[in-house]
Amino acid sequence: MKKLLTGIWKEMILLRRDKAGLGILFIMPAVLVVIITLVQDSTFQLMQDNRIPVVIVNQDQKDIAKELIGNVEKLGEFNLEKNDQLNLPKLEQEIRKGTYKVGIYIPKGFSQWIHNRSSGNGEKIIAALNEVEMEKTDKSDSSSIQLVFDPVMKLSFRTAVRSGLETILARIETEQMMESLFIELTGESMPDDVAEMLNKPPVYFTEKVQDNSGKSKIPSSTQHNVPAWTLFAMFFIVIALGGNIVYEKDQGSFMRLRTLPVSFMNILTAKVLTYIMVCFVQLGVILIIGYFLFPVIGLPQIELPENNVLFFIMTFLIALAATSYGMLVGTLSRTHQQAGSFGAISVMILAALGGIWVPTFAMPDILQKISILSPLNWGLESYYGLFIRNSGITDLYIYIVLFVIFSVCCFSVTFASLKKQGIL
Amino acid sequence: MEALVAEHISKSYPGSERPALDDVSLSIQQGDIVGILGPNGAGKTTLISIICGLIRADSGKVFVMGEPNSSPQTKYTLGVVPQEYALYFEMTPQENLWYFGKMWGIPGKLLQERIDMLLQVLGLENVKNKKLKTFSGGMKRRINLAASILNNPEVLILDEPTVGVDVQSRAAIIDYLKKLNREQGTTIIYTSHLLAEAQELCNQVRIIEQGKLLETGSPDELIQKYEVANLEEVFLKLTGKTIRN
Repeated sequence: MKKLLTGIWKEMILLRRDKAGLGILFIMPAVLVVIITLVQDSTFQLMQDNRIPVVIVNQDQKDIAKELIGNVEKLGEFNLEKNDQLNLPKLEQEIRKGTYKVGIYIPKGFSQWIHNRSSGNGEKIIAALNEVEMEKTDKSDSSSIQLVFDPVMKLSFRTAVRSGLETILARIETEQMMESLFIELTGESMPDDVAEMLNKPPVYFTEKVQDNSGKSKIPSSTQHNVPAWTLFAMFFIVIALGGNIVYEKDQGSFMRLRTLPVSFMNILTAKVLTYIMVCFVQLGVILIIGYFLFPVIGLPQIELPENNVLFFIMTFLIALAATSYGMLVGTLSRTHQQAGSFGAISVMILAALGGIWVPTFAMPDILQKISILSPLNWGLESYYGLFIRNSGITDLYIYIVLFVIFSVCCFSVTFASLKKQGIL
Repeated sequence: MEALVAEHISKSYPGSERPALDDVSLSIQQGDIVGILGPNGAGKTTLISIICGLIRADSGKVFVMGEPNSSPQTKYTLGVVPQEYALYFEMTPQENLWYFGKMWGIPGKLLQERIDMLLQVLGLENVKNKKLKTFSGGMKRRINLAASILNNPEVLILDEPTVGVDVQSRAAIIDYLKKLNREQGTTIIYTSHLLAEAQELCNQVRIIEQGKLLETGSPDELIQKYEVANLEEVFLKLTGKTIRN
């Protein structure tokens, strides 16, 4: 035990004095988690917090156009600006310049067109009820709302805007048609309570983000990025640990240690335990940033997992997997540069595949299938389970099994390789 | 008493045309200083690695102080100074020696006394808290030696301990090895290309060439036997003048 503790003491000294390694292990992920969360948070806010700048040009200025604008305001999904001074070419120019992301252009005569359409439709219904043949005259001239989008707006968003406007217009039109029908049938205008009833949306939706505890947590850039970049940092120990092993092989200290009365397993265990501790410190640093720094710089505060025991177990297993991979890279590499470059590139690839940078659901089918081979994907899914869905051990046991298998495989190849190299 | 006995050691490496060691037997008496000499590729490092248990012989046996070299006890009686520095350059001499001393299992107080003594004797007391990466080759060699003798081993094996060091550091190392042998009776086995140094230090030499033991005896005996002026001429007579790679 004393030898093990001395081994950990030695590893700590080496780590502490490796300034570049410390930068890679702690500063790089800390900076990345702040920058990427800030970048992604602006997108989240753009989509969630009324931040999309939309300009409405009302050339009509009549009742239906005003009602439409009122309803769009009530939607609360946009940062609305009214600018009736613009004509269509100027609006298009403003969108091209990026002043606005979306432009809604209501042409002159739009309200009259809706009125005509509604009353025309009402008359058609009455005529149909009275079995009277109507003269085929179209009272309405076509007058459509023009939507102008910045090319950066995704198709899904454009469709959502159009659908929202269509829903509002359909309700207004229905209301107009019902009113004209009411007047035709009763000779009186529609009472307010009936008009109010018609104004209500036909179907009510309740929205809930589903998790395993029944307590809703709103996914945010923080809830995604803190676990994601913690994982990335944990696996980046590959560079420091791999380099450390190559150094010991090169310098002959492994050889000297073999002549001393200490088990080589003891030496390797000291390395593994040290780097597992490093992973926990990395987690601590990034959680502190997410908990204390993020609110100060205007980012959502990280919501910590509720199942602390499972959180500890999963973190330990992820750290063990990262450490075993680092040992493997260090053992198979012949030079420090080889360990560094292979370690960094392989972790980048595993991170990209694992959904650290881009969520796996946004990947092509083939990549989604490949992504399940990445231990960073297992880690990310485990942390999503803990940070967002409040998952229990029954939800995460598959990842526990995968991490154990991965670590055992890496350690086995490491030992076989060390034996082949005459070190073990 | 025999400090080391090697019986019929043979070793071949895959892909090599001839064996690295071919039925080598030798015995070394306790308290001797023995130089194992040979040109490049003669099999010196392989022989030393087998004696230390770092590589396994294809056949043959090695005993250190009467115990098979595979015995755990041998690790306490045998000290090895490898040809590489085998140290941590980011650590200080104090930290390096503390680490290796603890791996020997030496208790803290005793270990610190030995570290202080060795650093003083080897002229490194003033730099004990500086990182090794700032040291000269000679200073590193002295730390390399100190790390191997913390446990006062009965048998000390050194693989080219003075290669690439300045005259002063070499003198310090040689003087300390003589002192160790004289005062503690440590058996010393060492390899070197420096035949004048071997002649000065050793009371016995073994000359090996192409994996075979060619000659055994004291430097004086061999000089007399081959009727030459010094050990270097004995060596050249036995191994020839062909340049080795």
